[in-house]
Amino acid sequence: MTVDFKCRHIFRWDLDKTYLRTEFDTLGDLIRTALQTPEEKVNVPGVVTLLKELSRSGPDGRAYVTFISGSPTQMRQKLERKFEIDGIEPDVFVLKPTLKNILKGRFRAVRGQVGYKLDNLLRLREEGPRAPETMFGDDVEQDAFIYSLYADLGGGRIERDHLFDILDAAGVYSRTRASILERFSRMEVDDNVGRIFIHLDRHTAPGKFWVYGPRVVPVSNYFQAALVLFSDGVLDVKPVLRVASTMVNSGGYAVTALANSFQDLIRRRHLDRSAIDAFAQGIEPFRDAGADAELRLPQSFFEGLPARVRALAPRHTAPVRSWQGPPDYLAVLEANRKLRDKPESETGLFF
Amino acid sequence: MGSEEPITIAIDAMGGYHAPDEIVEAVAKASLRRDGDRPVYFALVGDEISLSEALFELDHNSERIQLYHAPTVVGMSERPQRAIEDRPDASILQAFDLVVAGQADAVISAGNPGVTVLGALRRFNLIEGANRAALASVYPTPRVRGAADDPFSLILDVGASLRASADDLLDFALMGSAYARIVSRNDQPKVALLSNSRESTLGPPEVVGAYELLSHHETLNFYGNIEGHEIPRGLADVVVCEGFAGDVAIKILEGISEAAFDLARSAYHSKVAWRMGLKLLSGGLKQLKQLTDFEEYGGAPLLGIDEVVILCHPRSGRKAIGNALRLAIKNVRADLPRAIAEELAGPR
Repeated sequence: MTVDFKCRHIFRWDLDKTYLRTEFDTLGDLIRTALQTPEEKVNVPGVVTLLKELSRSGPDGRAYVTFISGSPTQMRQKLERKFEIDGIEPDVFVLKPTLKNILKGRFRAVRGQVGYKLDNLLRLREEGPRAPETMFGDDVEQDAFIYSLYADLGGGRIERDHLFDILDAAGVYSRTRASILERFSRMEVDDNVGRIFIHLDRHTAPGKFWVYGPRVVPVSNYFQAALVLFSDGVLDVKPVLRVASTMVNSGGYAVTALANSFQDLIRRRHLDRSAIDAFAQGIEPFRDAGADAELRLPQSFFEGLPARVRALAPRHTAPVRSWQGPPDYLAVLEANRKLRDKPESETGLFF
Repeated sequence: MGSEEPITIAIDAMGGYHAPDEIVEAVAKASLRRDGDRPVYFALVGDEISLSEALFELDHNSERIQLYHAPTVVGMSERPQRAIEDRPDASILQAFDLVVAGQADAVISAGNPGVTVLGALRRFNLIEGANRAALASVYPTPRVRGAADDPFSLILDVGASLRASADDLLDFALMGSAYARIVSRNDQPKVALLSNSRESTLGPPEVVGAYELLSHHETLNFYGNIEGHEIPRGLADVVVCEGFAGDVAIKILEGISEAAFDLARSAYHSKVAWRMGLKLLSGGLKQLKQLTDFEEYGGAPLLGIDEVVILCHPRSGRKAIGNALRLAIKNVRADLPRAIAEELAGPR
């Protein structure tokens, strides 16, 4: 495919639990989700604003947005209508051929995501533009694993044989595996993947993602993602404030929750001293309520954030967390398997 | 998240024998719980670096947790007055300061009880009409009470101070009665006076004097005197005593339960027949253990001050701290200090 525009950045998104607040923990949830109209579907607070801010065109080109979702292809019409309501125009929107998988008896592929998502990520990479990439997923499925593996493939840090073993251990069907390996053999190394954001829908411990290194940033909300993107130079201060403003004014967020999120990022060392100072300086002009009527952020926001920084210990006392990549993907799969198979034990009364 | 006024519970994360790990774990778990309409936040006070490292490894909702760095900790054996004067930056005192500054609504600590009580009395005010604060502890009984079918009775004071006058004991009765009404939803709690005899004329002068005051009180549902062995039978919903006696009594009650299970445990390992018998009984024994385990009922509220303060057992693990958090939230929601103040402002 030829790309007829100047692409400055690629944003790759998952849909359910990352963009949409979808519930599918029970059969009832699944049925409710399937029956929901596009108007009834609810976004994760701040996500639309963030995506719009990231997609703004500039002199350096426009952003390229892809969605690869685990939702079945039958949902396409509803979901495309939902994007339309939100004012989002993804360049590519891939849905899972769940019914086809069932009819072919490929039941592992119905639940499994590794083969489906990795194959499509590599396909879109082949067919789409080349630019720095930022990825968004969640903690419900295996997004951190898949995105991280994709990033390491693009960075030339994984050998073919090792990839074969990983796909084998992940239970990927041979046909999909062959497709992935073929795409991999054609792949040009560019190390384009930067941040991988994992939306903590299930509030998973951030430490569980450390195996993938500092590239993967678990976030409780999109204010945190916006802050890290500010720190990376991808966003300015105002778009970050716009995300915060949407969350407060229409996402039901309290300023306290945002201030806590800000502190959490600092504690996890995703924002360093210079980023904190730059952000503090950057928000000053917006402190005056009249400065930007569109933002509508209360004074407590501008006071609460610095207060949370002051409450922390001097950062130089925080130990540096070490990490050596690439991750041992086979060990991650094995650990997940053991965790799944572990019987629930209860402590006895006398022994 | 929500439009209702939020509640913030400050937790001394460095207090107690299992701090900070078990405390952070309890808070992490509590942050995942929905707590009704009013949003609840948790302020962990302590060595921020250790607390951050502990949180990093735990499932939690970071939007509901804020950390406050406190560089020092008060040890369990330190003298309260000295510790409070020497270390204003200690975790427990900084937790109190958050309440004073209006940044938190309640304090929980499993640390040095003397420091917690004295610190609370120095930072906060006694509510109008109260001459002293009292530490109230619950204990399990075979009887249930109130709309909540609460199996717990309340005993106070269990160590906020050593001695109490007859007037103080009346205050304790009124405060305990108000607490039982709010927390156990028991409209007419039976209040008893702990003594060495059921006779109203026997016992130390302050107990005899208190009997007079309690028996003539218009609003209290006074049961009379009870003896120590009657406490676990649950004859009264609120048992009033001076701090020294209450502290001794509550520790005996805790010790009896622990000793009973130690005996059962050693029996289990002694004979095959006993082991089989205990196995057959294990379901019931487990329920009994749940009922008598102090971890199940969290902490003891310090009544008589104008803020909510919950003291936890220094041996508290995550379960006890979790229950203390629930209790603190409940007490803030019920605006307990105001409710007690109203009780004390009534006829005496």
